[in-house]
Amino acid sequence: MEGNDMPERVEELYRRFGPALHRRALSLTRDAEEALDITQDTFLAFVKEPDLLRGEASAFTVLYQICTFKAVDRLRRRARWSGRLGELTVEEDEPAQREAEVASAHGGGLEQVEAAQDLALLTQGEKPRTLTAALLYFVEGYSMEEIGEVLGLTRKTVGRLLEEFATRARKRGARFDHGRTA
Amino acid sequence: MSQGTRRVQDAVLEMYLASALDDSARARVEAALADSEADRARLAELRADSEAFLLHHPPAAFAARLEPARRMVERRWLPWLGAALAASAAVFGGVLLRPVAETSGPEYVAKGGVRLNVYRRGAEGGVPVRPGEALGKGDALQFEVKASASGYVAVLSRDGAGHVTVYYPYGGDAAAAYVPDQPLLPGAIELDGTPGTEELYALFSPEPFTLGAAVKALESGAALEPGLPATVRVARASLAKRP
Repeated sequence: MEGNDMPERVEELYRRFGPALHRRALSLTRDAEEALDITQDTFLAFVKEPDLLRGEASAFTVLYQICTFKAVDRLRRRARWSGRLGELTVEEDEPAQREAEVASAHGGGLEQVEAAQDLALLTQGEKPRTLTAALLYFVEGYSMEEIGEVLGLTRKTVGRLLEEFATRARKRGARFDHGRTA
Repeated sequence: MSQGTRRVQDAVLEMYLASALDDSARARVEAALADSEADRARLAELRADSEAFLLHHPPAAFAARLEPARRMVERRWLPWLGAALAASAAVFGGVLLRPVAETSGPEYVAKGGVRLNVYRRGAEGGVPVRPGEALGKGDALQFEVKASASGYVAVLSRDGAGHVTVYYPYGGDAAAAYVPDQPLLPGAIELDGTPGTEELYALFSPEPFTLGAAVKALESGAALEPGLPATVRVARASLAKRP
């Protein structure tokens, strides 16, 4: 992309996806100003590395992952382990719709906030795609099918990502639990 | 909104709203919407929120706010502000002058606060202007404004003869977009030969604001703050200009 096209490209992307990204950040941080910063940081990442949007994933998927990653990073800075997240179990044969509540952008109670903070601690060092999948699955109750839709992945790939993450996270979680009860 | 009867997750509805779904996924969502009043209500809520968001945060202004970052990426270098900056800090005119290299780590400013740093072009790069340092005609200065959040910024000056100039955006009549991780304002100004004390004012606000009232107040010698919107914060510095 030529540098001169960038402002128009940013404007176009922002018009299409900016409100959704802001809501995404808001749903995690619960702070409108912080959400605005994260939205801006998300587009800034694209400005700095336009090639981010040249891969196979759609622009929405890439920006959504970056936004989620940055919002969780902020959560992590202030997170304290609560143990609210519970056991990280990936169901092989999940129902079409999971039992967990459907999370709205402005909804979700204290339990979900605490679970998200726990997950923020467990996802340190994870890639944006894995982090996003884990958050959608373990905290927000999305099915693998739905996560696949959002991230542009097959259900099988989502399952593998989650299994691998859960294995790593259980070890980290054990350390947090141990630290809490020690 | 009834959460319990929802069938489509928010992220998928967001994709639908942004026309980011492929044909088959779109058809599935539309079938679900046809059967689910709760999802239709949620979609309407998202759509209304999007319209309100874009109204409050217009795309053109947002893109302009990122423009300095884009230019910075293109240049990757500041012509005369670089590694030569010393590690010391000095208090100057009540304003902390802290040299900052492009690769420096994050520096935090109290929420709502603003700080103005001034750099002078030296033989080996940008150097912070020190307390009492005499500056003269032709000295080139660049400004760094530190604020904790995104917003809008302007730098104004009132020289020893009472002449007021908008240094940033140069000659502008409204504050320019600002992002915290690009605190060094683009461009540099060159001092004229007017001797005496030149007062500098960095104005920051999370909301857009015009500069007419500030210029008028400075020209008349009146206090600056009373004429400014309540959201505007001011940082000051003084320059000593030799004849």
